[in-house]
Amino acid sequence: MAMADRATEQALDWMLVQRSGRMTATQQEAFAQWLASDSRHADVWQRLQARLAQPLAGLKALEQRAPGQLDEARRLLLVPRRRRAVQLGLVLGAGALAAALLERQVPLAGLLADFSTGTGERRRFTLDDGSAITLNARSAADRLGDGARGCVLRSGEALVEAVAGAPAFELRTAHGRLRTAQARFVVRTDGAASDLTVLQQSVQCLAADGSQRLLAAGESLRLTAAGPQPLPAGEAPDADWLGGWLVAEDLPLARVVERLQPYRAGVLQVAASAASLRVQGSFPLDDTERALRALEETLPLQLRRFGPLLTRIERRA
Amino acid sequence: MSEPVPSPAMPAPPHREAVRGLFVAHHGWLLGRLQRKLRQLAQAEDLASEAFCQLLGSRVELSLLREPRAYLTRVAQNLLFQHYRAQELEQAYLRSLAAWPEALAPSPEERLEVMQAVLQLDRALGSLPVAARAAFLMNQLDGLGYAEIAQRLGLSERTVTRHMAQALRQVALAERAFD
Repeated sequence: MAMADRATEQALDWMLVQRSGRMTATQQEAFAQWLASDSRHADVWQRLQARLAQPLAGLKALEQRAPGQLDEARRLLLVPRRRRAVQLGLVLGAGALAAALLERQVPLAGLLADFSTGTGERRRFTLDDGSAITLNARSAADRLGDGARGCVLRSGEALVEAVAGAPAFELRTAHGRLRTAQARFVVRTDGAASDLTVLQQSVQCLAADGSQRLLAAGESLRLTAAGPQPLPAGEAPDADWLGGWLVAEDLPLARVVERLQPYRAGVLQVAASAASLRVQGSFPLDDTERALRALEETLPLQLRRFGPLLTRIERRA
Repeated sequence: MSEPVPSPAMPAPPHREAVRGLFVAHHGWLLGRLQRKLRQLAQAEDLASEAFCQLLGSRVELSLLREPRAYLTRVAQNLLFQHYRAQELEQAYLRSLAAWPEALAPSPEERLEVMQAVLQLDRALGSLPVAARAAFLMNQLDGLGYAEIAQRLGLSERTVTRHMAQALRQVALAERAFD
């Protein structure tokens, strides 16, 4: 940073006192004297004021220019800067963690989907036939083409509200197809399996092994590349996330963290020693810090933070 | 690397000539480096042009530069960093806007106003850490004194004073756009 001359340093000191909100009468006097003692002081003081006011002017005018956006603007100014690693000619590190972090910032797969959500985002999309799909955070889906009704869930989790119509509504995942005339159901997919819970009406499940099963309201199912599999207790999808809650009933910590991850910009890592701890309780998805603190309080855990980008969840020794 | 020396107020024609000379000698080289970094020709061209524009508007005595490429690199690196930071803030803004109900969402013109105002202040704040930024905004926008800021942020008044001192120095003194 530039070195300031003596007058500027003094002006800065005075500005610091002036902005404090507790400048005394004696200090006011001293300041007035300083200003008057040298014509350069008044100059420097003016320039300092102008230099400070200038970058704030745009922000101050926002209430007129973009009403209601001032809070957003202030929030953006508090987004921490990534470390200044911009060196021309240097390639950014390509380690697994770096890749994971880059993926968190820019979800590449999601960008190409018809419907997608980012970190911490839940969003409802209306389909052409009037049906709707609400995506949980960091999820992606595509429309079915060719006059078919429905979607493909590429990743993440969705609440599907299929309205009555023709042909039958279909929700496809990598592990099978869910077909219905009209129903409300929640479906979650990852690389290994697609889980389904029917909330209202019924859904026909066509598994990868060719088998079919009709699921009624309240029933759940897991589909894998090998066909239907038993759903581990407590892991059936629910609709609590729509209200911003993760409700765990005897769920392994690894699963809990998986559900929190899409709501957090930084990466959450669970140590193997902690992964199978069982969790009971309700956790706020929209406040992962609070959720983590709650976990820390009820389980023998130690959280190690590496800045805002990485938090390791370990078992307390 | 030599330290550039500020020259008197008005950039005289010799200055423009000097920039032109540097452009002819180094534009191709700078463009190449930026292209390798950005992998998009249009963006690289924009940044390279902006770097030379900044030279035009600056008061630096270019004929005294012993290593113009090093200086240009500094200018370009700064621009690149600003570019990435602007992207980062834009993405954060868009993610946040996606959650807004349609009826209340700002128009594209309003969004542009927001981004411009934010980027301008963000540049002035430079590498000032988040806590100092928060204190500065509370002081300048809300008119809060240090005692009140300390209470709201859960800090000591001495810490807030330190943050404000740092913030005032940064905004008042830091090099901005190499002017």
